[in-house]
Amino acid sequence: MSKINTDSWDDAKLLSLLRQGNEDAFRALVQKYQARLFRTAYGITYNKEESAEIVQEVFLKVWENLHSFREESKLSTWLYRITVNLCLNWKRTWKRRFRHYHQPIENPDGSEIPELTNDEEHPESALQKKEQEKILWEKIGELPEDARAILVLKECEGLSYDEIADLLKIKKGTVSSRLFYARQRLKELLKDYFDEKEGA
Amino acid sequence: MSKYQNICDSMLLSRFFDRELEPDEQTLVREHIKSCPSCQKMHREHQAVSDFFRAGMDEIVSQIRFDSLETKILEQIREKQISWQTKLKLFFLSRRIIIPIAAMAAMMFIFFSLTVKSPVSVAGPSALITSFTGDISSVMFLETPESHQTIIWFQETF
Repeated sequence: MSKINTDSWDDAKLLSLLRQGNEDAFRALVQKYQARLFRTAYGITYNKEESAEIVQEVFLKVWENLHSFREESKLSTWLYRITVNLCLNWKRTWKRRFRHYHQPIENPDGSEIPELTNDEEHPESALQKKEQEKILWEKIGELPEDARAILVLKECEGLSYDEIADLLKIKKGTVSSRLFYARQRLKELLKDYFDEKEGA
Repeated sequence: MSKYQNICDSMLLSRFFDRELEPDEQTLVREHIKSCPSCQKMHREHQAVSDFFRAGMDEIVSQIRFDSLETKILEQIREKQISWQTKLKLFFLSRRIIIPIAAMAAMMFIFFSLTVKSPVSVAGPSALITSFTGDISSVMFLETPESHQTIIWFQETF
Protein backbone atom coordinates (compact mmCIF):
# COMPACT_ATOMS: atom_id res chain seq x y z
CA MET A 1 0.00 0.00 0.00
CA SER A 2 1.46 3.34 -1.01
CA LYS A 3 1.61 6.12 1.54
CA ILE A 4 -0.78 9.00 1.08
CA ASN A 5 0.82 12.40 1.45
CA THR A 6 -1.30 14.23 3.97
CA ASP A 7 1.14 16.95 4.98
CA SER A 8 -1.22 19.70 3.90
CA TRP A 9 -4.29 18.03 5.41
CA ASP A 10 -5.47 19.09 8.82
CA ASP A 11 -8.41 17.34 10.52
CA ALA A 12 -10.94 19.74 8.96
CA LYS A 13 -9.65 19.11 5.45
CA LEU A 14 -9.49 15.37 6.08
CA LEU A 15 -13.06 15.35 7.39
CA SER A 16 -14.35 17.33 4.46
CA LEU A 17 -12.71 14.93 1.99
CA LEU A 18 -13.96 11.94 3.96
CA ARG A 19 -17.51 13.25 3.82
CA GLN A 20 -17.19 13.53 0.05
CA GLY A 21 -16.42 9.79 0.01
CA ASN A 22 -12.79 10.32 -1.02
CA GLU A 23 -11.05 6.95 -0.70
CA ASP A 24 -7.58 8.48 -0.50
CA ALA A 25 -8.71 10.49 2.50
CA PHE A 26 -9.96 7.33 4.14
CA ARG A 27 -6.67 5.59 3.47
CA ALA A 28 -4.85 8.59 4.94
CA LEU A 29 -7.02 8.35 8.04
CA VAL A 30 -6.28 4.64 8.39
CA GLN A 31 -2.54 5.18 7.88
CA LYS A 32 -2.45 8.01 10.37
CA TYR A 33 -4.35 6.31 13.17
CA GLN A 34 -4.26 2.53 12.85
CA ALA A 35 -1.07 2.01 14.88
CA ARG A 36 -2.18 4.43 17.59
CA LEU A 37 -5.60 2.82 17.86
CA PHE A 38 -4.07 -0.63 17.86
CA ARG A 39 -1.77 0.33 20.72
CA THR A 40 -4.70 1.72 22.69
CA ALA A 41 -6.79 -1.37 22.01
CA TYR A 42 -3.93 -3.65 22.92
CA GLY A 43 -3.34 -1.76 26.15
CA ILE A 44 -6.89 -2.60 27.19
CA THR A 45 -7.54 -6.02 25.68
CA TYR A 46 -4.02 -7.46 25.88
CA ASN A 47 -4.82 -9.51 22.82
CA LYS A 48 -3.33 -8.82 19.39
CA GLU A 49 -5.96 -10.49 17.24
CA GLU A 50 -8.85 -8.89 19.08
CA SER A 51 -7.10 -5.52 18.96
CA ALA A 52 -6.67 -5.80 15.19
CA GLU A 53 -10.37 -6.67 14.84
CA ILE A 54 -11.34 -3.78 17.07
CA VAL A 55 -9.28 -1.37 14.96
CA GLN A 56 -11.06 -2.62 11.83
CA GLU A 57 -14.40 -2.14 13.52
CA VAL A 58 -13.45 1.38 14.61
CA PHE A 59 -12.75 2.42 11.02
CA LEU A 60 -15.98 0.81 9.80
CA LYS A 61 -17.90 2.73 12.43
CA VAL A 62 -16.14 5.93 11.47
CA TRP A 63 -16.98 5.36 7.80
CA GLU A 64 -20.61 4.66 8.61
CA ASN A 65 -21.04 7.55 11.05
CA LEU A 66 -18.97 10.28 9.44
CA HIS A 67 -22.03 12.35 8.68
CA SER A 68 -23.25 12.23 12.26
CA PHE A 69 -19.89 13.36 13.70
CA ARG A 70 -20.65 16.88 14.94
CA GLU A 71 -17.05 17.96 15.55
CA GLU A 72 -17.68 18.77 19.20
CA SER A 73 -14.41 17.00 19.92
CA LYS A 74 -11.26 16.44 17.89
CA LEU A 75 -11.29 13.74 15.25
CA SER A 76 -8.58 11.85 17.16
CA THR A 77 -10.60 12.03 20.40
CA TRP A 78 -13.61 10.60 18.56
CA LEU A 79 -11.49 7.74 17.22
CA TYR A 80 -9.98 6.98 20.63
CA ARG A 81 -13.43 7.10 22.22
CA ILE A 82 -14.85 4.56 19.78
CA THR A 83 -11.79 2.36 20.34
CA VAL A 84 -12.00 2.47 24.12
CA ASN A 85 -15.75 1.82 24.11
CA LEU A 86 -15.38 -1.14 21.77
CA CYS A 87 -12.56 -2.51 23.90
CA LEU A 88 -14.50 -2.19 27.13
CA ASN A 89 -17.57 -3.77 25.52
CA TRP A 90 -15.38 -6.52 24.16
CA LYS A 91 -13.97 -7.05 27.63
CA ARG A 92 -17.46 -7.34 29.11
CA THR A 93 -18.45 -9.90 26.49
CA TRP A 94 -15.23 -11.70 27.08
CA LYS A 95 -15.78 -11.86 30.82
CA ARG A 96 -19.28 -13.20 30.24
CA ARG A 97 -17.72 -16.06 28.35
CA PHE A 98 -15.74 -16.97 31.49
CA ARG A 99 -12.42 -16.52 29.81
CA HIS A 100 -9.33 -15.73 31.82
CA TYR A 101 -8.59 -12.11 32.58
CA HIS A 102 -5.64 -11.77 30.27
CA GLN A 103 -3.80 -13.67 27.60
CA PRO A 104 -0.05 -14.02 27.23
CA ILE A 105 1.66 -11.83 24.71
CA GLU A 106 2.91 -13.86 21.81
CA ASN A 107 5.53 -13.09 19.23
CA PRO A 108 5.09 -14.40 15.69
CA ASP A 109 7.86 -16.92 16.37
CA GLY A 110 5.83 -18.41 19.22
CA SER A 111 7.76 -16.85 22.08
CA GLU A 112 5.55 -15.05 24.51
CA ILE A 113 7.09 -11.70 25.38
CA PRO A 114 7.88 -8.43 23.72
CA GLU A 115 11.47 -8.40 22.55
CA LEU A 116 13.32 -5.90 24.70
CA THR A 117 16.79 -7.43 24.76
CA ASN A 118 20.03 -5.79 23.86
CA ASP A 119 22.22 -7.58 21.28
CA GLU A 120 25.34 -6.95 23.32
CA GLU A 121 23.96 -8.84 26.29
CA HIS A 122 25.04 -12.34 27.18
CA PRO A 123 22.54 -14.85 25.70
CA GLU A 124 21.86 -16.43 29.08
CA SER A 125 21.18 -13.17 30.86
CA ALA A 126 19.17 -11.99 27.87
CA LEU A 127 17.01 -15.07 28.18
CA GLN A 128 16.63 -14.50 31.89
CA LYS A 129 15.66 -10.91 31.28
CA LYS A 130 13.20 -11.99 28.65
CA GLU A 131 11.62 -14.41 31.08
CA GLN A 132 11.44 -11.72 33.74
CA GLU A 133 9.82 -9.27 31.34
CA LYS A 134 7.31 -11.88 30.35
CA ILE A 135 6.23 -12.20 33.98
CA LEU A 136 6.12 -8.43 34.35
CA TRP A 137 3.94 -7.99 31.28
CA GLU A 138 1.59 -10.63 32.58
CA LYS A 139 1.40 -8.72 35.84
CA ILE A 140 0.71 -5.46 34.04
CA GLY A 141 -2.17 -7.31 32.42
CA GLU A 142 -3.64 -7.79 35.87
CA LEU A 143 -4.13 -4.06 36.34
CA PRO A 144 -7.80 -3.03 36.01
CA GLU A 145 -8.65 -2.33 32.38
CA ASP A 146 -9.75 1.26 33.03
CA ALA A 147 -6.38 1.96 34.69
CA ARG A 148 -4.59 0.38 31.74
CA ALA A 149 -6.69 2.41 29.31
CA ILE A 150 -5.64 5.63 31.05
CA LEU A 151 -2.03 4.47 31.24
CA VAL A 152 -1.82 3.70 27.53
CA LEU A 153 -3.58 6.92 26.54
CA LYS A 154 -1.16 8.92 28.66
CA GLU A 155 2.11 7.06 28.22
CA CYS A 156 1.83 6.01 24.60
CA GLU A 157 -0.53 8.50 23.04
CA GLY A 158 0.52 11.46 25.14
CA LEU A 159 -3.01 12.74 25.76
CA SER A 160 -3.56 15.34 28.44
CA TYR A 161 -5.66 14.67 31.56
CA ASP A 162 -8.40 16.86 30.05
CA GLU A 163 -8.43 14.89 26.82
CA ILE A 164 -8.53 11.55 28.66
CA ALA A 165 -11.30 12.81 30.94
CA ASP A 166 -13.33 13.96 27.92
CA LEU A 167 -12.72 10.71 26.11
CA LEU A 168 -13.65 8.43 28.99
CA LYS A 169 -16.35 10.73 30.35
CA ILE A 170 -14.77 10.87 33.79
CA LYS A 171 -13.48 13.71 35.94
CA LYS A 172 -9.98 15.07 35.50
CA GLY A 173 -9.25 14.23 39.14
CA THR A 174 -10.24 10.62 38.49
CA VAL A 175 -7.81 10.48 35.57
CA SER A 176 -5.06 11.82 37.81
CA SER A 177 -5.74 9.39 40.65
CA ARG A 178 -6.19 6.31 38.44
CA LEU A 179 -3.02 7.11 36.58
CA PHE A 180 -1.21 7.57 39.85
CA TYR A 181 -2.54 4.27 41.13
CA ALA A 182 -1.56 2.44 37.91
CA ARG A 183 1.97 3.83 38.06
CA GLN A 184 2.37 3.01 41.72
CA ARG A 185 1.28 -0.53 40.99
CA LEU A 186 3.72 -0.73 38.10
CA LYS A 187 6.53 0.58 40.27
CA GLU A 188 5.82 -2.16 42.80
CA LEU A 189 5.76 -4.79 40.07
CA LEU A 190 8.93 -3.54 38.46
CA LYS A 191 10.86 -2.80 41.64
CA ASP A 192 12.91 -5.99 41.74
CA TYR A 193 13.47 -5.82 38.00
CA PHE A 194 14.89 -2.31 38.19
CA ASP A 195 16.92 -3.05 41.32
CA GLU A 196 18.54 -5.98 39.55
CA LYS A 197 19.13 -3.87 36.47
CA GLU A 198 20.77 -1.15 38.51
CA GLY A 199 22.88 -3.72 40.38
CA ALA A 200 24.07 -5.42 37.19
CA MET B 1 6.76 27.04 48.46
CA SER B 2 3.91 27.96 50.78
CA LYS B 3 1.42 26.50 48.30
CA TYR B 4 2.43 22.95 49.21
CA GLN B 5 3.04 21.84 52.75
CA ASN B 6 4.89 18.79 51.53
CA ILE B 7 6.36 19.10 48.08
CA CYS B 8 7.82 15.59 48.28
CA ASP B 9 4.45 14.18 47.34
CA SER B 10 4.30 11.34 44.82
CA MET B 11 0.89 12.44 43.51
CA LEU B 12 2.26 15.92 42.88
CA LEU B 13 5.32 14.46 41.20
CA SER B 14 3.10 12.33 39.00
CA ARG B 15 1.29 15.46 37.80
CA PHE B 16 4.63 17.23 37.37
CA PHE B 17 5.87 14.31 35.29
CA ASP B 18 2.79 14.60 33.06
CA ARG B 19 3.22 18.39 32.78
CA GLU B 20 -0.23 18.85 34.25
CA LEU B 21 0.74 21.51 36.81
CA GLU B 22 0.39 25.22 36.28
CA PRO B 23 3.59 26.78 34.82
CA ASP B 24 4.60 28.33 38.15
CA GLU B 25 3.97 25.05 39.99
CA GLN B 26 5.89 23.19 37.34
CA THR B 27 8.90 25.47 37.89
CA LEU B 28 8.58 25.16 41.66
CA VAL B 29 8.63 21.37 41.60
CA ARG B 30 11.46 21.28 39.04
CA GLU B 31 13.60 23.46 41.28
CA HIS B 32 12.74 21.34 44.29
CA ILE B 33 13.71 18.08 42.55
CA LYS B 34 17.17 19.47 41.82
CA SER B 35 17.91 19.60 45.51
CA CYS B 36 15.87 16.64 46.83
CA PRO B 37 17.39 13.15 46.48
CA SER B 38 14.16 11.38 47.45
CA CYS B 39 12.17 13.20 44.74
CA GLN B 40 14.97 12.60 42.26
CA LYS B 41 14.64 8.87 42.99
CA MET B 42 10.86 9.01 42.59
CA HIS B 43 11.26 10.88 39.33
CA ARG B 44 13.80 8.35 38.03
CA GLU B 45 11.47 5.46 38.93
CA HIS B 46 8.65 7.25 37.22
CA GLN B 47 10.71 7.65 34.08
CA ALA B 48 11.84 4.01 34.19
CA VAL B 49 8.27 2.71 34.52
CA SER B 50 7.17 4.93 31.69
CA ASP B 51 10.06 3.81 29.45
CA PHE B 52 9.45 0.15 30.21
CA PHE B 53 5.75 0.41 29.41
CA ARG B 54 6.28 2.42 26.23
CA ALA B 55 9.05 0.18 24.97
CA GLY B 56 6.92 -2.92 25.52
CA MET B 57 3.95 -1.40 23.72
CA ASP B 58 6.12 -0.17 20.86
CA GLU B 59 7.56 -3.64 20.51
CA ILE B 60 4.09 -5.15 20.24
CA VAL B 61 3.05 -2.56 17.68
CA SER B 62 6.20 -3.19 15.64
CA GLN B 63 5.17 -6.83 15.24
CA ILE B 64 1.93 -5.92 13.53
CA ARG B 65 1.74 -5.78 9.74
CA PHE B 66 -0.26 -2.61 9.36
CA ASP B 67 -0.17 -2.82 5.57
CA SER B 68 -2.32 -5.91 5.64
CA LEU B 69 -4.57 -4.43 8.31
CA GLU B 70 -5.07 -1.39 6.10
CA THR B 71 -5.88 -3.63 3.13
CA LYS B 72 -8.44 -5.54 5.20
CA ILE B 73 -10.09 -2.32 6.37
CA LEU B 74 -10.31 -0.95 2.84
CA GLU B 75 -11.68 -4.25 1.53
CA GLN B 76 -14.42 -4.16 4.15
CA ILE B 77 -15.29 -0.61 3.22
CA ARG B 78 -15.44 -1.51 -0.48
CA GLU B 79 -17.63 -4.52 0.32
CA LYS B 80 -20.00 -2.23 2.15
CA GLN B 81 -19.95 0.20 -0.74
CA ILE B 82 -20.63 -2.65 -3.19
CA SER B 83 -23.52 -3.99 -1.18
CA TRP B 84 -24.99 -0.48 -1.05
CA GLN B 85 -24.53 -0.08 -4.81
CA THR B 86 -26.07 -3.51 -5.37
CA LYS B 87 -29.09 -2.50 -3.34
CA LEU B 88 -29.37 0.65 -5.40
CA LYS B 89 -29.09 -1.35 -8.63
CA LEU B 90 -31.76 -3.77 -7.47
CA PHE B 91 -34.00 -0.86 -6.69
CA PHE B 92 -33.60 0.61 -10.15
CA LEU B 93 -33.85 -2.85 -11.73
CA SER B 94 -37.15 -3.46 -9.97
CA ARG B 95 -38.36 -0.09 -11.14
CA ARG B 96 -37.43 -1.10 -14.68
CA ILE B 97 -39.70 -4.14 -14.41
CA ILE B 98 -42.51 -2.69 -12.34
CA ILE B 99 -43.03 0.41 -14.47
CA PRO B 100 -43.65 -1.48 -17.78
CA ILE B 101 -45.95 -3.93 -16.01
CA ALA B 102 -47.96 -1.09 -14.49
CA ALA B 103 -48.11 0.69 -17.85
CA MET B 104 -49.28 -2.49 -19.59
CA ALA B 105 -52.01 -3.02 -16.95
CA ALA B 106 -53.17 0.58 -17.34
CA MET B 107 -53.35 0.25 -21.13
CA MET B 108 -55.33 -3.01 -20.87
CA PHE B 109 -57.77 -1.38 -18.46
CA ILE B 110 -58.32 1.56 -20.80
CA PHE B 111 -58.68 -0.74 -23.82
CA PHE B 112 -61.28 -3.01 -22.20
CA SER B 113 -63.21 -0.20 -20.63
CA LEU B 114 -63.59 1.43 -24.07
CA THR B 115 -64.32 -1.66 -26.17
CA VAL B 116 -66.63 -3.73 -23.96
CA LYS B 117 -70.29 -2.67 -24.50
CA SER B 118 -72.18 -1.28 -21.58
CA PRO B 119 -74.94 -3.54 -20.22
CA VAL B 120 -78.43 -3.28 -21.79
CA SER B 121 -80.15 -2.47 -18.58
CA VAL B 122 -78.90 0.11 -16.20
CA ALA B 123 -79.10 -0.66 -12.58
CA GLY B 124 -81.49 1.58 -10.69
CA PRO B 125 -84.86 1.65 -8.96
CA SER B 126 -87.72 0.12 -10.94
CA ALA B 127 -91.12 1.75 -11.22
CA LEU B 128 -94.17 0.01 -9.81
CA ILE B 129 -96.93 -0.07 -12.42
CA THR B 130 -99.62 -1.86 -10.53
CA SER B 131 -100.23 -4.58 -7.97
CA PHE B 132 -102.99 -6.98 -6.94
CA THR B 133 -103.51 -8.72 -3.66
CA GLY B 134 -105.98 -11.60 -3.49
CA ASP B 135 -106.88 -14.29 -0.95
CA ILE B 136 -104.28 -16.73 -2.13
CA SER B 137 -101.60 -14.59 -3.80
CA SER B 138 -100.17 -11.15 -4.53
CA VAL B 139 -98.89 -9.91 -7.92
CA MET B 140 -96.83 -6.82 -8.74
CA PHE B 141 -95.93 -5.40 -12.16
CA LEU B 142 -92.77 -3.38 -12.27
CA GLU B 143 -90.89 -1.64 -15.06
CA THR B 144 -87.13 -1.08 -15.26
CA PRO B 145 -85.94 2.44 -16.04
CA GLU B 146 -84.50 3.28 -19.52
CA SER B 147 -84.82 -0.27 -20.96
CA HIS B 148 -88.52 -0.40 -19.89
CA GLN B 149 -88.57 -4.14 -19.25
CA THR B 150 -91.50 -5.52 -17.26
CA ILE B 151 -90.99 -7.60 -14.16
CA ILE B 152 -93.85 -9.67 -12.77
CA TRP B 153 -93.48 -10.47 -9.12
CA PHE B 154 -95.79 -13.17 -7.69
CA GLN B 155 -96.15 -14.40 -4.14
CA GLU B 156 -98.60 -16.87 -2.61
CA THR B 157 -100.08 -15.50 0.58
CA PHE B 158 -101.42 -18.65 2.29
